[in-house]
Amino acid sequence: MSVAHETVLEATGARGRLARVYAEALLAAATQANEADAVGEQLTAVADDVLGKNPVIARYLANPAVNRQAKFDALRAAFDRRESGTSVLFRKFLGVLHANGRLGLLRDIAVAYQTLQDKAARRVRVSVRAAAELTAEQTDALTKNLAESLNQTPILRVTVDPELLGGLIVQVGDRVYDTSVRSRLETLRTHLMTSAPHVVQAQRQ
Amino acid sequence: MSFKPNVSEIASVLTEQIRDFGQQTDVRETGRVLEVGDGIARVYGLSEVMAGELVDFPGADVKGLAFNLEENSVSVIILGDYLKVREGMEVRTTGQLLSIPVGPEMIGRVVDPLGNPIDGGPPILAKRNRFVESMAPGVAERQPVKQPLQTGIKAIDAMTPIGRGQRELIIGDRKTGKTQIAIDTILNQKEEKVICVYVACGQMEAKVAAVVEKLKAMGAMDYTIVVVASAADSAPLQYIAPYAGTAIAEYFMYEEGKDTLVVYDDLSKQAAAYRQLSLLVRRPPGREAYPGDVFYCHSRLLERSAKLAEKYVIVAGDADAAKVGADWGVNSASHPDQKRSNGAAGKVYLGPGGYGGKEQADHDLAKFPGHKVAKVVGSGGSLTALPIIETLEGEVSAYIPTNVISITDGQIYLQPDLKNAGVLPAVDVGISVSRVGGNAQIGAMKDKRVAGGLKLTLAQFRELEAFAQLGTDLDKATQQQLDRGYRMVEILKQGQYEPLNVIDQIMIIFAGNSGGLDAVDRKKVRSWEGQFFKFMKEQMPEVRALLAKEKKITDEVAKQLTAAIAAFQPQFKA
Repeated sequence: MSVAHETVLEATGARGRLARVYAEALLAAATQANEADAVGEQLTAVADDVLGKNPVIARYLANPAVNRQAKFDALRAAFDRRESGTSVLFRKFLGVLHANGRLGLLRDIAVAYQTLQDKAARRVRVSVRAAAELTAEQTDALTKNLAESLNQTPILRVTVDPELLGGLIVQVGDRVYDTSVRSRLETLRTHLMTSAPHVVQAQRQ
Repeated sequence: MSFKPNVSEIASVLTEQIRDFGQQTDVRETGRVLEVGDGIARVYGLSEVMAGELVDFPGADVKGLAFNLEENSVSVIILGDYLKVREGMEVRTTGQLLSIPVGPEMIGRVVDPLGNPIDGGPPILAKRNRFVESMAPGVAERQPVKQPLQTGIKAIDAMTPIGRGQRELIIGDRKTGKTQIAIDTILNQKEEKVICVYVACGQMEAKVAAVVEKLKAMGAMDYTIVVVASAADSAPLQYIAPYAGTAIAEYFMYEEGKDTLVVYDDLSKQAAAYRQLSLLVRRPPGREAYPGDVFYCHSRLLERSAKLAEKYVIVAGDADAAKVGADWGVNSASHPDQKRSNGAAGKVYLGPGGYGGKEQADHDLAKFPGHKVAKVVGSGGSLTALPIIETLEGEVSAYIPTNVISITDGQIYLQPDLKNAGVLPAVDVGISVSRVGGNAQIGAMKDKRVAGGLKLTLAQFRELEAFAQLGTDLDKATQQQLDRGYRMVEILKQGQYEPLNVIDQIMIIFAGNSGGLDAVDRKKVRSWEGQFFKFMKEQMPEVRALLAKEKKITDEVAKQLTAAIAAFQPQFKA
């Protein structure tokens, strides 16, 4: 899932608010049953691997025109078996979503759930863009540094972007720590552009 | 001027830049554009952004202002070309407020509300910046309006006088000459050393070009700055234009202690631009669909007009009066009768008179023989505002006109009927008022024999005129009152771009009031006026000089003026 997509999912008004309510309820129930992580994995797996890869299924579940009983039967056929690898709690949750006609929110709920879980566990997602592949030592050092400065456990997602020319761009939430050569060159360029008229004027005098 | 780029100089600048190009990490707060349109971008992220903060769209090379902070997003008004902003684009906070370049380098230039030149001239190399939105000066920093700002228009200077630091509204229907009054006022500041700022907000580009052309032709661009956000510019630029113009004028008021004049042409279009922005960011609409804070939008703008108090300090007798600073005071701020100790604050006397002002300073001076009281350089500037409001069909009880009428210190009301009847400027003297300007009028103009009773006389005349239309026979006294009234109306007429010196104004109004024109044909009054001024200049310069010196109608001045008028009568060629 791309960064832009995540933001849109999270931000879109009423859907986002509804999804957060369901996610909070699910997390509370899962924490009580001591399976918060397991439910989270199942939710992400269903949202990304099943619905994300098969838009037809997502559309089918979200479509209010489909007969409720038919949808229920389909869900039961897919999940109500030990082989589906889902927990009882998760299956019950799907039942509640179905009963309330909110199956279309599943992917939004998955994103909200992950955010809530991260917050509770003091984890923070960090996206790192590097000019070249990072070595294991570099990654470790970065993780350690970030953990110290943020006072949270960073979960790194490293992507390689040769366009940066050198250095790193580390993004934690909305905050960006930029040491890339590319953006520093850009800063230099704008600085030179804005100071040029003053230099020229100084020449004339 | 020939100019060869000095390669080694540029290279050395570059070297310096590269050397200072350290290992610093660029930390910034970012967000992403969710949607964009109509000059507004909805941005996700920017969780630490502050209301009113300047944000940067690096990909589109434009800036914006955080306008609305919502639960999950921030609405940003885009200052510039919003068509370059796209969905998903990165947005950065800057930690700054919007500021524009200010300074003497701006004089004579036409700029957009961000301070960029749009007159085709060279870049403006201003050394200073000022915040576009800044606080109005407080009570202690001000002094009452006392000094006149001469508009050069007889009907205004005589009956609705404007003082420096006043806010006088110019209100009227379209095509009644509102801009004309403002332009004439700017033209009249040529000898008054008042810096003028003309803010064109939501105007046609052609009209602005014509105004600039006229100002140039009349030599008024030597002391004028034009800020343009035309009808073609986006609503955010139209919205900030008046604040930007005020910031430019404030520099001269606060830093150089100069008198300034700002014309906002016009605030009804700015209110419409603000309404557009507010509705687009889904603020709740109120009366006439304007947002609830449209009053504050105008009141905070017009509160920035002020006449600042002069500051005085007691300095050594040989101090250079042209350089005196606020920290030059030799006596202590807490004990003004004692010399200040090293490092302690010096006493600054604020205001022209009364307790704590110049009189106090003169009193305290007795304890410091060999010293003198000096005015702090750069204190005592002023900012006079002439906002313009366009009404629809004379409807002054609409929302924006009532708001601005209640904010300003008076209004000049222009009537289309008067204009159609050939009375130009079409000032309706009956309902035009100036709430503080009376104190600012010079003594000679205030005199009963000049403009003192003029308003009342004209009101009585209008009543009589309506009565006379019934065709009844009038007694001699009434007929004479009518004749006098007709001639006073003629005297108050004035052509475009012909601002008149206040001394000349006084002379002609005195002539009219004393009956000097009663025998002149109504249609010949203007030509009498022209020849009279020529006569006074060429044959009786000493009378004019005496009046200019006395600034009051003393018995001697009145006698000489009456004699001059009598001497001119036989010379008048109808």
